[in-house]
Amino acid sequence: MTTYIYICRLAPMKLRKSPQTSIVLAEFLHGAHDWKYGYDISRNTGLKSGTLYPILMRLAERKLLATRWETPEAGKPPRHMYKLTADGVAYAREHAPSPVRRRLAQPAFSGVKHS
Amino acid sequence: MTTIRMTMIRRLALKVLNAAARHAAPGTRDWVTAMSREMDFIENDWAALWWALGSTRILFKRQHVPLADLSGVPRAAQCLVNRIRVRTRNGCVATTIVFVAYIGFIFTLPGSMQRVRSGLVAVSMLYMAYQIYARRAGASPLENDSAAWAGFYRTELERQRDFHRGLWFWSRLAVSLPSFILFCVGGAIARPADARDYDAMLAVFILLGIWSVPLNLGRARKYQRQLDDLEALQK
Repeated sequence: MTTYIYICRLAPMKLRKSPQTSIVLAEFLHGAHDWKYGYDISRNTGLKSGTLYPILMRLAERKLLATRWETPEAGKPPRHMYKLTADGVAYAREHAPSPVRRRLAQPAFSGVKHS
Repeated sequence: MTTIRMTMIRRLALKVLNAAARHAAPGTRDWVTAMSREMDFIENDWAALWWALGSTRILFKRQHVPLADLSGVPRAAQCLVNRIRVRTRNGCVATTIVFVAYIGFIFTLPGSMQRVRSGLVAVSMLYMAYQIYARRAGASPLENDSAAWAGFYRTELERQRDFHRGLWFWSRLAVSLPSFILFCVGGAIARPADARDYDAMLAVFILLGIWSVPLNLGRARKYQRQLDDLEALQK
């Protein structure tokens, strides 16, 4: 029973290491100290919003990702921004794919202009 | 930011995002809002619609929101009580419907063995209803004392965690699944003409049984996480 309880407590700590998660981590490693926007990450990684955001949520839940709302300018609604924490950077360096594999990812909304 | 013309597709995308924000769990609402803010930067309407449709996936996420301090305990406990009340009500209604249906089979199905099997399913439903009722939400503390609320919250979390794992869960599964399997297999043997229907029912019951394992253990883990948060706050 003790082992069971231990496993139950440990299980939520694990982060599913899907290829998509690795791609997101690699994207964050590009300018690890910069805050990034969700749409930009989606375009750069080729991941759809329905795939990307659950990954961001999981990373944030495990304290690997810092989030904050952009300071709003007049007439503009604030945007949500993301940056890896120190633990996140260490985790990403360990689990992110090589640059060659990363280049294989296609942009999600190709042909869409970004202002 | 360029001005984006409101086309019908974009309006639909906004409607989808607004609906998602309305129905999102408290812990995920911020994320849906974050997605909707990005819409202003997507120029292509169809891309905006696909982006918005992605938000519906977030609706299935129940992100754990840790308690900030002990003052949030009464609200969290009340939310838990409300959820358990809904579960008790829905669970009792569902088990009663199945119970009545299988009691009906006892009087209508041909063959004494199939009637016995129907009776077994009905008994298993009674056991399930008993479990659901026994683990109904307890009475909330009357006084506005944070220690009383914390104690109540802890007890409820432990009761609900145990409902989804250990003896409570496995006995529920061990009683209900075999009775359904016996009913379907027995029915297929007794009435070969209806064997395909019974096989389909059997497949559904087995899949539901398998699915219930990660579902219940996941819930138990969630309650354990909430217990850990409460413990950390009390230290």
